[in-house]
Amino acid sequence: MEKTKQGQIQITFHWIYIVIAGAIILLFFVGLVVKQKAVSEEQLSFEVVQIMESIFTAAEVSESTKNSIDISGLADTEFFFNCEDGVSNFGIQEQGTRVQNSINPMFSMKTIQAPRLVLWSLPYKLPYKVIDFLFVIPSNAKYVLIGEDDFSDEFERAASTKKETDENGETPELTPREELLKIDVEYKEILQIDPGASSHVRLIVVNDNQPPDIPSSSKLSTLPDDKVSAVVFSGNTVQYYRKSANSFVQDGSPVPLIMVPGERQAAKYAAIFAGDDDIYKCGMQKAFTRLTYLSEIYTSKTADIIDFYDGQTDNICYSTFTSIGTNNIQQEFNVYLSAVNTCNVAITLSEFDSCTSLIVSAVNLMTLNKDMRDTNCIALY
Amino acid sequence: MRRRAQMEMAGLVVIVILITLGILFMAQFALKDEPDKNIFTRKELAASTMAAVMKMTVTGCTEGTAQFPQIEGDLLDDCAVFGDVHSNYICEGKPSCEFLQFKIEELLDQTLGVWGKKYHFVSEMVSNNEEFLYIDGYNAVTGTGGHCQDRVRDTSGDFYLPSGNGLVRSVLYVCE
Amino acid sequence: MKRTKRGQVHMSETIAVLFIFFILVLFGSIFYYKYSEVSFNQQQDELFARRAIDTTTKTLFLPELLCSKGDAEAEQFCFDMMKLKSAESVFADNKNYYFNMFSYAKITVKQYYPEVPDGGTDTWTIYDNQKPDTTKTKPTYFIVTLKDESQQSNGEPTYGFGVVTVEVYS
Repeated sequence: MEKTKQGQIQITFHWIYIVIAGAIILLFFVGLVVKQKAVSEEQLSFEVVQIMESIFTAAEVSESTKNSIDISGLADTEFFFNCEDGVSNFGIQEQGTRVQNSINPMFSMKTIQAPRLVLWSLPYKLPYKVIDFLFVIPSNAKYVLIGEDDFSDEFERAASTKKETDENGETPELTPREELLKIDVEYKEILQIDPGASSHVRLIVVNDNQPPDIPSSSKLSTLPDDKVSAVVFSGNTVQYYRKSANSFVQDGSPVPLIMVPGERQAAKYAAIFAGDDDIYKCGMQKAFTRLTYLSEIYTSKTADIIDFYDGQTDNICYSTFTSIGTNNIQQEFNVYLSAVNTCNVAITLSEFDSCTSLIVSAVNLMTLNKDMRDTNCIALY
Repeated sequence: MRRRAQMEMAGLVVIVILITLGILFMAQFALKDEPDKNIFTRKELAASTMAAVMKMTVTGCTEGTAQFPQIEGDLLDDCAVFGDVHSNYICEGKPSCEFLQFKIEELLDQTLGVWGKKYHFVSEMVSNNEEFLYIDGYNAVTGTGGHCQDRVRDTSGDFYLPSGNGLVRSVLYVCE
Repeated sequence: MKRTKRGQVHMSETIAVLFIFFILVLFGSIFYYKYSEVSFNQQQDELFARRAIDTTTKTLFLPELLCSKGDAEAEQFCFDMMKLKSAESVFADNKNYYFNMFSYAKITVKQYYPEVPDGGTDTWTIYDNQKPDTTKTKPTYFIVTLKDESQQSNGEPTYGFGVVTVEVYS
């Protein structure tokens, strides 16, 4: 009897021992798995952000190109972009990982959640190439042109990769690759806009003062306020608007567009793709910082050109462009340089209006450079 | 009793197998070589090299119309038209074909050859696939260079030149 | 006496099982540590390789060096000699800005053709920021044309043959 009791106690003890040991081992591995999961997630988001930064770098330097990147595997991930004081941040929403960049101007919506991104790079020239602007465009964003002018036609053609009609008057079909690079751009009346599954609808209003009110019967009115916005181009300024119930309210003050005449004006395209005026101004600030340093190189090149033609009195390049006179490259460049420095300081204070004199001197420099090139002289750029 | 001993033996064997597997698994990681990421983008290298060669202008040429003839536009054209028979350009004392053969090989040996890359450069008439310039850059001194046929190779892509003798296709292959 | 011996056997068995268990846990831990170390090194290598490619890409398309023609269109794989000669001092004067672009790296451009006469410069170190405790360096080479507008014929500049070397430090 005694022996049986002892045996029972022993068996019970064994079971308790097994349960406790098992529980400890289980807890140990559960803890390990939980920790590993957190580490893996952080590592994954770090890698995603790093890889995307590399893709952005490559896409940006490939001047005037569009690239499509498939991020359908990250369709549930929301990316954020912001830019303040000339430093942009890009990362995954609600995750600690982010990359900072104070060099490359990127223009994007404030948040992006899409199966595909179109990366569009355009060179910013003032009048020489300063830097490449990168537009990060989610495939599910819709751009609606309200009003029509030369720019809206050019933009529609460029964004939707439209092809010229052939000799039979037919438009050739887009290749599968071109289809992927298409940005959803169309001319529409506000009542006709169907947002569908769009993550954001941006109205691009040209030659108008204010975006139209949103009729309550329109599908656009059902979208949350932060999913609809508008940019209005009036002359050489852009004004951002955000949706508030069934109307648009101004978002910041009008921002002057600092650019020289020509096609594919990167500064104007950037205004369309920037999330708001802060992102736009911040991107432009980066461009102007670069312009200041780049101008030092061109200062030196101007001096080299002057030196090269120095004393060649019978050379047309000397008599027309580098000798002391009204059309002197050195004088023109000095005026331009002074305007660059003034503008760069003003932009850090968000005073874009002070840059209007720069546009004038950039256009003068552009004309002079063309003349030099046409005369077979060494041109500045 | 014997049966119990057998079971214990079986248990021990299982443990030994597990430990051995573990050690093998660890050894696999421990002995793994450091991954040598080949960061050299050969494709871009081939394209940029070919673009540079073709665009290059040559100083020190006598005769010919251009003071500084361009490799592609002037010398290759001249070579395609006249071959070894005659040359409108005499550069560093050599007619165009001979000069191209010598200069391109010299430059590519100094660069691709020194970096341990093998390459070959071909210029041919599109009409009959006749090669009139073939440079494989074998360098007997350094032992580098050599052609890229039958190897994994990267190409510069075709560079076409409408010469006075028909369309010319030039291409550069680079390989390890 | 008999009971004690049986108890001792039991105890030895338990200790042996625990011993083997801990040995397995130890192996697991070592394996995990080794795996983490290898994967960390791999990740570092990947980051390093990516940085090397990024730096090279940025260098090849620098507006500070690129040649242009017409309406400021960039000429690919081409450096303007007039810009190149002043780039070194501009990059050095604005070190903080260009450090954000290139980090720890050394960028040199060497002219191979036309050959430079003795005493002339054929190599330009446009950016040099070496990491004090560098453990690894990886050079990447690219061939570029060097546009020299001071040597013109009928308004057309001459194009030389050069190599840009980008070394990144880890």
